[in-house]
Amino acid sequence: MSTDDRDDLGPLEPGLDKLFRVLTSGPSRDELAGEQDAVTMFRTARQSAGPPRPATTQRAERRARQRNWGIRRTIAVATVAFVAGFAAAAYAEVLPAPVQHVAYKVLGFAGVPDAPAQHNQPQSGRTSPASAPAGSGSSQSATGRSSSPASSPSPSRSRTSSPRPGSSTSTAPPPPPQLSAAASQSQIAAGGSVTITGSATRHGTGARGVSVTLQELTARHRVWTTVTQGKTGRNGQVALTVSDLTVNAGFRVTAAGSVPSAPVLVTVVPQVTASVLTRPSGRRAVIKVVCLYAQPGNVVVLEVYRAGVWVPVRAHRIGGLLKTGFVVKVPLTKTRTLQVVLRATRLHAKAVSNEVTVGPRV
Amino acid sequence: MASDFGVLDDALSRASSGDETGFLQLWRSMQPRLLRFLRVLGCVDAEDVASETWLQVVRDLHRFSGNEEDFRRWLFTIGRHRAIDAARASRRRPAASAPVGAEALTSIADTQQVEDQVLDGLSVSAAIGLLAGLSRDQAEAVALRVIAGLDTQAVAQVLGKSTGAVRVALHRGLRALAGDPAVRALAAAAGTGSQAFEEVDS
Repeated sequence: MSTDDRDDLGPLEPGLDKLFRVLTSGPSRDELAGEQDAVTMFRTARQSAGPPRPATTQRAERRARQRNWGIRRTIAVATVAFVAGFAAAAYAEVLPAPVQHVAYKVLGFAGVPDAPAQHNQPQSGRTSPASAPAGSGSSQSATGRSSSPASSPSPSRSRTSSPRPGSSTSTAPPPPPQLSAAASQSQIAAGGSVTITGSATRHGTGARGVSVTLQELTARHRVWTTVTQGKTGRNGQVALTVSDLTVNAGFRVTAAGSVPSAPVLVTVVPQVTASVLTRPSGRRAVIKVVCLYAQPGNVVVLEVYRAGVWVPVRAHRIGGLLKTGFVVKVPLTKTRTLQVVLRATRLHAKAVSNEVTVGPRV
Repeated sequence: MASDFGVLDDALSRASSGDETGFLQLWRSMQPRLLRFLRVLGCVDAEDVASETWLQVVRDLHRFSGNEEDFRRWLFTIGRHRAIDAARASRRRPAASAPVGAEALTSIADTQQVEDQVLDGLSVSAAIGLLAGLSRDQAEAVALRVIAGLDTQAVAQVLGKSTGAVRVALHRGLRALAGDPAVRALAAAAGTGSQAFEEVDS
């Protein structure tokens, strides 16, 4: 939303304006990470929708749906009739003993009686239960049990569906490694190098051969950008060197399928040099300040050493050539020790110059 | 992202007729804002809710008629409904809604800290956190107005409220935000350099 669109909100305070600018800032890479999924979803939806169908096809489909509904209704009525008849027969105890027993198991709570005690026998309970030899029922039952596993397909199904242990270890992809990053130094001189050690672990041990990408986030780019890539070694670690680092940066390592590591911050310290130029009169001296790797407009503060502490006395903004100067009085009899401090910004850390002395005049 | 609004009519018409690039242009323009809006509403998994939102959009896009502003209103209405559904579902299944472990939370916190340090002291997620700290009515109104870029009338339609009620919520939300110490610090930061400069120089 542009600022013009927010006219009805009235004039915004600077803080709110900045807040809204952040909220409507450009997308991060993470926010656009699902792009491929979105395109696939769109493609799938388009394919499943297909081209517009003619009305005749739609009428035929409607008729087919109506026919299906009729068949389904008939099946439902038949099922209800069968269940009702079965229940009535169970209550009346007119079912064969095994069936009656099953009915008792299912509808026992509703008062359906169990079959007589010889329900295990294959014959009907009403056909001479006593004539059956005691052993035949058990043998039948045993036969039934013994035939049951052979006839039942479930064990074989479970065997075929579950992968063999050997094959599972050889084909299953390894779990994504856990990543971490550590910097060799948390603060470096601007323009220097830093080594980021990326570690990949699986189940607590180093994962070898993982391709990791080192990403960098700086105030200049504001999105995570790839710096370099590498592959972890035997101990699951890889050392990735970033050279010529001139601004503060966060670093993290990523790998396919893994959660990116927690980022580490590396701050840079610009080089600030102070030198004294004494004017011909000798009463004034110029403290010349040069700040390498700082930004035009950054603030430098001249400090004087008094009673054991550094006291700020004056501040300047550095110019386009990253230079500025302080004119100071040269003390008559004393020596004054001075230094210049470059204030920290989001691009760099605080930097302190070398110490310089002025005076005495005599 | 701001410049995209108003020029998406063509992309919208192409997407409606099944053009993939048109849809992609719409998605790229709207997805970041949708995610930020959902996060203001407190969605635990904003990406999932956004996916469900887009799923409904692509399903019904051929029936949609209107311009880019209407589409935005439609998209954020769906997004809001899906967010409400997700919140209800997570209340029904509290165990399933436990988002991440302690390690991940630490990681997120570290990420936030580093981003804040590297950037200008206020990352997008911190800004979202400020909005999320408002009352639900105010947060929704401000988020739809600022992040979604809807006008007050459209916000009222999305929220099912009167325009007056939305204006009141907006006003109170902005006032609450302006009084937030973090926002005041932002305002102060803008003038810090010159103030310090004058102070030391004098």
